[in-house]
Amino acid sequence: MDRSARFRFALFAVAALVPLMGLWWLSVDSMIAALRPLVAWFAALLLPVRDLLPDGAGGWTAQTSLQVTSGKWADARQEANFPVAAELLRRYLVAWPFFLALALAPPRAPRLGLMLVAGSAALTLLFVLSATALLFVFVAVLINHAPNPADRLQFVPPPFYVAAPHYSGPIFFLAGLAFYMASYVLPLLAPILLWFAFNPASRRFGLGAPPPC
Amino acid sequence: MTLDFPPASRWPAVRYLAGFALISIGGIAALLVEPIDTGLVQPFSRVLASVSAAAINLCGGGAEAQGAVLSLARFGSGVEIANGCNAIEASILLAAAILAFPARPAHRLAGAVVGVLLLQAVNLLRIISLLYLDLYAPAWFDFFHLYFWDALIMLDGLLIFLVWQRWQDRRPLAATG
Repeated sequence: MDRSARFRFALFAVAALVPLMGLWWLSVDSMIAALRPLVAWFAALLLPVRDLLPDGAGGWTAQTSLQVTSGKWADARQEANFPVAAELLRRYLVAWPFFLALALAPPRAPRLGLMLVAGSAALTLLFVLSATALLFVFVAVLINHAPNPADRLQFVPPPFYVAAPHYSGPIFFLAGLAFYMASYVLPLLAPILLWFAFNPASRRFGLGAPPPC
Repeated sequence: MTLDFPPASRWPAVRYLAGFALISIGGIAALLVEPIDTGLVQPFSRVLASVSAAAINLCGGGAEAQGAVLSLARFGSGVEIANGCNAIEASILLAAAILAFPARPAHRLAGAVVGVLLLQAVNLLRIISLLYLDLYAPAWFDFFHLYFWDALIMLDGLLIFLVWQRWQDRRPLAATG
């Protein structure tokens, strides 16, 4: 792949990213709403999260099965809930316009349709896993009643305690790492990996692999 | 040097991916360790604020840096360079992609250093643009801050990697020791 091909790729990808990000911005909250039931189902399998309800601002309210035992609301015998801000959830969907910009930039994959379908499925799965990682760190902070190192300002314990055995130190750290990877790394790394996986031309000029026979 | 994908053996590619994953996950995990956060990451964010202020002042902008806060005092506008805004994650990924690549160690080292410097130069543009965006179009601040610039920085990282890969691939074989 010569220099002009790389230049064409770079120019197209950057130019395509602008309108794609605009379209993404217009549709992202609808995507979050559409994927909420899937995340709620998956999170309920792994975490003490009973349901996710829309909060009216694009985000969710997570209802847990964790009983409040002490603190301001202890007498009300209620279960702990926490808000999941739309800003965090939107980050996990940034992968979509980025993936489309890479996929549509020349040289395109010979089976572009397959790449788009498979990539969309992979990014949907990534959103479910990422959102679950986000719920996990919130739950870990609730249970351990300690700020998580992933974000000591955002993940601070509430003014009450819940009845559940604490996570061990390594698991608590892993919850933060999973959140950090899901928020700052995977939404932007996954499209590149998908591009390499589905587009032989990208491997030729990205990794130097020889053209297929 | 290239990463061949002969049908019989995909080991070079697997080894490369494993090396990349190891370096990048290790680097990201290190960011969460408190002494590294307070001793390296936060001072680095403060340096970014100072360099951004110097760059703006070079153009007569009248910026100040106090800690990791970059501000335009006469407008009463400012932004804080928090974790996640210093492009350290993208820098770690770029460095991991280059360092894990089967090229000469000197080429890898040079690529990682120059690549990260280039990426941080783009990030300075990001920080300065966000400062002015907060002043003149605050409604768009979140979109550009949280989403658009992040994608653009990662795309820049990919392009830097592609340019480096081509550069190292074209080094004369006689130079390989």
